[in-house]
Amino acid sequence: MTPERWQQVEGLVEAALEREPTARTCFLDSACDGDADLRHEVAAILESLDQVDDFLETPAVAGLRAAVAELAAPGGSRQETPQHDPSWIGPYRILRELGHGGMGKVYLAERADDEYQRRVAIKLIRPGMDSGSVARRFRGERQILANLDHPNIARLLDGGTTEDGRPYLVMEHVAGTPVDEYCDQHCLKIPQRIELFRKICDAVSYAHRNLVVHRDLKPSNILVTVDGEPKLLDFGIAKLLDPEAFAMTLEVTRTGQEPMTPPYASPEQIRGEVITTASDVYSLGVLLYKLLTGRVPFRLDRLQPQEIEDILSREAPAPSSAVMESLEAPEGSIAYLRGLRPEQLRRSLAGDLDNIVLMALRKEPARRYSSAEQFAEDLRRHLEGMPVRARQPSLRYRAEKFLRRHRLGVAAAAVFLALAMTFAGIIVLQSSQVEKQRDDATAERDKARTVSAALIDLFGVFETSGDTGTSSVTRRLLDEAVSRINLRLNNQPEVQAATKTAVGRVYHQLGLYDEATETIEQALETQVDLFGPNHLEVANTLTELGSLYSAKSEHSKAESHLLEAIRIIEKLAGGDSPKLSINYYHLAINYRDEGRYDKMRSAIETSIALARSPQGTRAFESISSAHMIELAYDYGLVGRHEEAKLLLLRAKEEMESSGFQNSAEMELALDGLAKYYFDTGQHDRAAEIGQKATALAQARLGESHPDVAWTFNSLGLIYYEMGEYEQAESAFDRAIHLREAVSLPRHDLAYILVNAAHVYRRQRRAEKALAAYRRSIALLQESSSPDNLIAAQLLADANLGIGIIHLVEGQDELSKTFLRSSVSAISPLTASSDSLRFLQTHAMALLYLDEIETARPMVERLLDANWKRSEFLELCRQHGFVSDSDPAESP
Amino acid sequence: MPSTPTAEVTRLLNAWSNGDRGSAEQLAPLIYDELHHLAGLYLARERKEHTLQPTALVHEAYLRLVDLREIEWRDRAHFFAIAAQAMRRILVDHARKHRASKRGGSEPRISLDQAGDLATTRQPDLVVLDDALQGLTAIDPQKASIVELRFFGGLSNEEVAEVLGVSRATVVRRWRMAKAWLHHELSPDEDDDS
Repeated sequence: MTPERWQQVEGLVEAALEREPTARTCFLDSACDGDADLRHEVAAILESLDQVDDFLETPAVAGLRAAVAELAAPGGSRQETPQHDPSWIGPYRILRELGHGGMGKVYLAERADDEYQRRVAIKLIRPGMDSGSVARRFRGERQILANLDHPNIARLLDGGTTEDGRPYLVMEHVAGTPVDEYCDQHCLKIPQRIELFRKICDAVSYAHRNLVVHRDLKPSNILVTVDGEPKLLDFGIAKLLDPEAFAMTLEVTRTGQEPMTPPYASPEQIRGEVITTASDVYSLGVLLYKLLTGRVPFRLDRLQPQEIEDILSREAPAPSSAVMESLEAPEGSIAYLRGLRPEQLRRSLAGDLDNIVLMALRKEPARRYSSAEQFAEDLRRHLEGMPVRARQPSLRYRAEKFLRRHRLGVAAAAVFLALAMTFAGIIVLQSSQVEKQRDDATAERDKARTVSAALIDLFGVFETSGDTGTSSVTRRLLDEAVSRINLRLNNQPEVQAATKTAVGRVYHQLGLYDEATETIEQALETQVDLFGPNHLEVANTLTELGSLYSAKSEHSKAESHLLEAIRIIEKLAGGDSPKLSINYYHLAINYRDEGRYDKMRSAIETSIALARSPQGTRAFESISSAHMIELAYDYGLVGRHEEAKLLLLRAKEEMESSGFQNSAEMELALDGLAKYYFDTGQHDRAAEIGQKATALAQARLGESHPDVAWTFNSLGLIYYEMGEYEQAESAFDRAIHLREAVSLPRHDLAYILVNAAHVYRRQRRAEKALAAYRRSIALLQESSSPDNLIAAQLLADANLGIGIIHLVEGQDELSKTFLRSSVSAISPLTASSDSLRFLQTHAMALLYLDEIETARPMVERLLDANWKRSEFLELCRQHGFVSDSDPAESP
Repeated sequence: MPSTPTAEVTRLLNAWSNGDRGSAEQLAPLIYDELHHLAGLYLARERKEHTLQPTALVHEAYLRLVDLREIEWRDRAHFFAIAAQAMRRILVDHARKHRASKRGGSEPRISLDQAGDLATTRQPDLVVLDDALQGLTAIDPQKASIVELRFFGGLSNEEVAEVLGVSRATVVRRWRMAKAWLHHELSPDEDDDS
């Protein structure tokens, strides 16, 4: 075929497509004008067109893994040798394959020359794996197993080497069912399951006494025979704890071919640390968890970093709560398989069994049961109604945990520790001048230690009472701190200012903006008095104030403080100081919240560049996630959703892998992801993630923190798109309530009000909607600077909303007035920014004004960028831009 | 000191958008190497059943190789175009090698029956597809590019539109036509033209 011919064919195909299917034959007959080949080719393409909906739509995934594996293999491509199942191994005749794993295959075989027929399982090492260390490991296994003789452990019968030098093991063949399936098939009750599990513990404990750790305990390695006897298989990765074998153990571990099964693997196993009998205790704990609740404590289906991280750091949910939360199987079926109703199951697990299982699952090996025997013994005590060894962790333990988990608490504690140390330090300083006061200094230091110990207990109390965030206790502590700083550090203005800034930062984190402002402004004043305006300390304080004003939506103040900080740092520390990065970062967020996206983009890029500079490597580590989130936000605005998503996922992953899974940035990332799903029309996913973000924010900040409002606002928008107006309303109500508590409500409150008003409008509650729109307009007019583009957009949105309401009511003239106000508010924005959100407001206002042709290019740009807001699409349908049947296309 | 890959890729992309066509040839191996490297990282990180998407690889390569401050948005398109080419090469080379080792030289190249299966399954034999795509390049290079970008590069319609400088709607239409042509080409047809 020539290009010209193809062009001809394509032209005819397109022409045919424009006609009704019935008219096509006729059309083609005349158009091809007797050229039978042409006619045939066009028909073939037309036919193919009907069959290509799915064709090539999935990018070339198949083969990619393999290609990648090959590329990634050291030395480039590697030819794979075909593997044939042997028909004989030594004197054994192979019957069939039973299974295969990382090390090789397992066959069912029988010994032909045997006087009595006996079936065995043969484990044959894989060719290509017989490097020295693996072969050594294999031989080690033979040694180990030969010594184990226990009714619940599959026996090792024989071993040898094949003619081509591959080692093999011959084991007792066990016909049975994996223990978890067995229990469910026989509907074993909880006590029966525990009895069975205790037998498994006995076998493991026997192996431990023989210095053998199993290292891979999981249901598929524990079969139950028809007699109901459990048999432990596959000590394939067991190693001698014998010190003489220790050197070998280390070597084998280094090969990186460690077989393990993550859901059952202990944290230390995942970290690649030393494995002891405690690791088996952990795996047994997971197994018992599974037998009792039907699930494992941490899901690991996708091997995501988050899932791994959970195993490493998150406490397992108690079995009794797990059975109620269980999502994947209807909870009822899990309970009924245990001969109980759901509530009965929960009650039978709560208490002792929860404690026993959680004790086995503790992260720190030393805090688990010291042996499988002890584990089994505690279960026996439970079955006999005796008090068990496992207890809830002590208050002290939980207080320490709390400090580790709550960064906010830690921040507050850190301030106190710093304070305590400062007092002690100052006194030491003074006393060094006056010899005889040294004893007092020691006393002060002791006091400091007492204070820090008391603080740990204090935070422990918060946790037990379920009190988090802006708790009155924390507040009182901070207020107390301020008065002491004022009192005790009066003659140390430099230290006083620094500590005030630190306390102010905690106020800021707690959402107590007014207290924060007051404290930090005082610090600034002191510093300027002391050092003059050009000093790095002053710049640091300006940065704090800048980010604080930004959070308070006082954007122009925020901008001027941050720019001043930048000026000072540039002058004193040079234009490439990594300290600048964080200032540009706050500046970017501030611009973002004002809708000045061009400025935002350049600020964020400057911030990244500075963080990446040679001096800034460390700074980059800490804020790169936040950067990615902000960039993603920017991408999302202009319709680059896939890039945004990728950035967000990376940011999320980075935070998870670096222990920031409960951080503010994590909320931002989740919020961003929710926006992505929202923008691409995947509302259910969006709602799910939005809820997660809200829960995280509440847990981190406390329920009444003003910043929690933003996650509720996002959630409200998602429900709004889904048409779930009642849920949207309650989310916006929560958000409004939280922001109203901030002393000076500004356009941030107006933003939420406008969203809420949209909901009322859609619910046809015109009065309520109008009131909310009007209130937001009033707020905007009294508080906003002309630079604030978001405020301008909100004004346009509110006017648009009012216009629509009047239009529905038939008050056309009135409606037009508002719609025109909307257009004049939004026009400067669409002229200067490529934000799709601005464009939507503009296009909708024009469409309601019936200025279709002016609106057309905007509508087309939005449709081209896959803009999916339901109300906008609805309007497009009414005006024929989108046909009803048009499936909202997605790549 | 040699410049970093990021600086180099950024420089070459800028050169390209300033009309230096030769820079594409220097870019290709850099991008290929990065994809190669990333592939290794992915593999090391996610051992099991991770759905490895070319989309993710290509985007990640972009973010790693390009200095966002130094680059115009439209240069991204050039990058994606080369990355899609590199992905195609990686995948097709692999498929070819894999087939050669499986076939052992004795099997017929491909039977018509197999070709028929290929056309209807979602993932066709990449070697066959690559051959057909070369045929399409000969008569309609833009449509062949669309296939390369979408199928091998994993790009969205919007991104393809950006690369080719046409509207999204155009991409959607031509993509479908290109698929129809390939589908027809890969279908067993009793009296097909050569």
